[in-house]
Amino acid sequence: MKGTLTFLARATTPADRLVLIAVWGGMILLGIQAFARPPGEEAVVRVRGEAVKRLALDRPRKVTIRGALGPTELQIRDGAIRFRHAPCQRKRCLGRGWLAQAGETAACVPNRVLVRVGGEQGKPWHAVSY
Amino acid sequence: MAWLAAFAVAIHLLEAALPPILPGIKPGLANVITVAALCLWGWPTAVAVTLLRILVASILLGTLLSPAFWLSLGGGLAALAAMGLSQALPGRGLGPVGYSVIAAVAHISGQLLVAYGLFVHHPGLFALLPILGVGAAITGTFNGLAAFLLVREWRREAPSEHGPAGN
Amino acid sequence: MIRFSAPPSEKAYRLVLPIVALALGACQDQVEVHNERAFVMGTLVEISATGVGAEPFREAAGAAFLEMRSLHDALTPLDGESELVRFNARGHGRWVALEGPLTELVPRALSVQRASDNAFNPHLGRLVALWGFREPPFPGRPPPEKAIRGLLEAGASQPALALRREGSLEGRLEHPGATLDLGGIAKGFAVDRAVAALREHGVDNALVNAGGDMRALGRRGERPWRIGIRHPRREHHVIATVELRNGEAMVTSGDYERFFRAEGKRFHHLLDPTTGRPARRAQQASVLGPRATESDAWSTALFSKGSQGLEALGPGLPGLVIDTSGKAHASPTMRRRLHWRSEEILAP
Repeated sequence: MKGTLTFLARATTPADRLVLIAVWGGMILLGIQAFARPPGEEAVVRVRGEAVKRLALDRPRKVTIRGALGPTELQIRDGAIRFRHAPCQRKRCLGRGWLAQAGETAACVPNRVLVRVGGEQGKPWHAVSY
Repeated sequence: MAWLAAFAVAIHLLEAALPPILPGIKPGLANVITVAALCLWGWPTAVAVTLLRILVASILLGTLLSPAFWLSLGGGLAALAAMGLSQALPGRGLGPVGYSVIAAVAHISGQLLVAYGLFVHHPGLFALLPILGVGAAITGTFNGLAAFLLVREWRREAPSEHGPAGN
Repeated sequence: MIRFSAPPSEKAYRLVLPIVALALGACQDQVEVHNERAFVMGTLVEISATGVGAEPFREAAGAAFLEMRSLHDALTPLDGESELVRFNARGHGRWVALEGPLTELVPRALSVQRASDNAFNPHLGRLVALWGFREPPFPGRPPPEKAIRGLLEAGASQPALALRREGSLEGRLEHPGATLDLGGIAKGFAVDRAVAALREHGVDNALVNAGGDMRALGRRGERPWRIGIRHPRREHHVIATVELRNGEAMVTSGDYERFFRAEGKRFHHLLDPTTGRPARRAQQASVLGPRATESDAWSTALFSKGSQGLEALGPGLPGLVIDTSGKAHASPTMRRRLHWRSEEILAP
């Protein structure tokens, strides 16, 4: 082990070590990112218990949903979703913040709007025709 | 230089004959020669050796002007360009390991671009980047160490007239 | 807003119930599904099954793959030994016995050709070869105008195959520009044969998926097999889902499967028989039906005709077309089956 390290130290210049750290670090980060966020993650929006929308989380945008009390705005960014405006009184849904992990849920109860993030397992189909 | 290129061709052919460890990932051992040539005799020699190697190896493998050839060439040119650029770095500069890692990363980038531009036209191709990148980091590091040993050996045997470049 | 650890109010309760139901539903989904994959017919084929032991399933899937492989060997235009190439090699203007799977497949291809008014054409072999779409890498530029016109004048695209039964079944190519190419129907046929092989091996609940062309048997545990239809321009997105009934097939043809770009245009492998060039009326066409063979051929025809082609399908073959502007069109029977989920493409 120690021999390997001294060999590595002798074989590399300081600039080499910088390159090694940068490239290995970059590749590991890239790898983690690729595995951590599978493409096609989405959120399901339910109003009065009924699924009214499925939103892919891969593209930043704002979406307005018609809740029981009125229009409710959801915001999507960086693979996460949150309530942005809601017509309810206490606005506690806004305080729930961003949801990104599969299974995370936020609800605006008076407004009867529920948002649930679904991951890979949550895919409602068994195969895709293309 | 002719025997350097011949050596590289031999490695290239050997690698083409061996089964791949993982599909799409090859150790790229011929780059050891390129990196060693760069460190001992400078960039022009590295360019000449690499281009000769790709040309001769594809003629011998019968892949001249086939997709494999373009991929090889794209990767090789990108690697050479990256090594040429990084020679301009200030300070003590890079050694074989640094060059080799940079070359490996440039190599896969070049190959991906060629594959995208000429053959696949599908952005899904770039989803391969993390896997290929990790492969490049690993093979680049090990090839760099091999190149270091080779450089040390050759320098001991035949001190270069031009003086070592980039080190 | 509630966190679900908070004591539920009455209203919250009503909200929680569907979630609990959903969670229970998810638990029920724990069916044991076996999977086998193989690379056959130039594509990844996946067979999934439930309600069967692991060992018998492996055997059944192996038999199915074997069947598909032998079909590939008989129908490929790339191997000089295939029955298809041997048939074509005899040239036009004479009767040639149909061999192997051609005896069953050619008549079925011809009947779709007739019913679709030649929008599906099983003898575009020379045109497909001219365009270079038989196997990747694709050429990167369209063939010269003159060559296309030459083939069309040589009868490449008009109905050009006659059949007769003279002891055995015989076929005759009528024009020099036409050679048999079953690329638009072979994959579906192979899926049907695979399904038959699974059935013979006692597998009653399975999904055969040959690169997006599929057919279902039975159910996946408690539920039907449910499949997504991909978005024509966004690879990992699904625009709608459909539940397949026992024995039902779904095949989709899209301009994103085999294509190259040149002159700012997309040139894809689905050639319009009337022009000898890539069809320009759709981005994607899907056909549901009782057999993958016919669904495959009809999805090619539907792609060629675009949304006007939906009527020709009839109620027995529900169809869905995404036209070139990205708008969805569906036949009435398809509309009833679709669960739409796309934001960018409006439901038909």
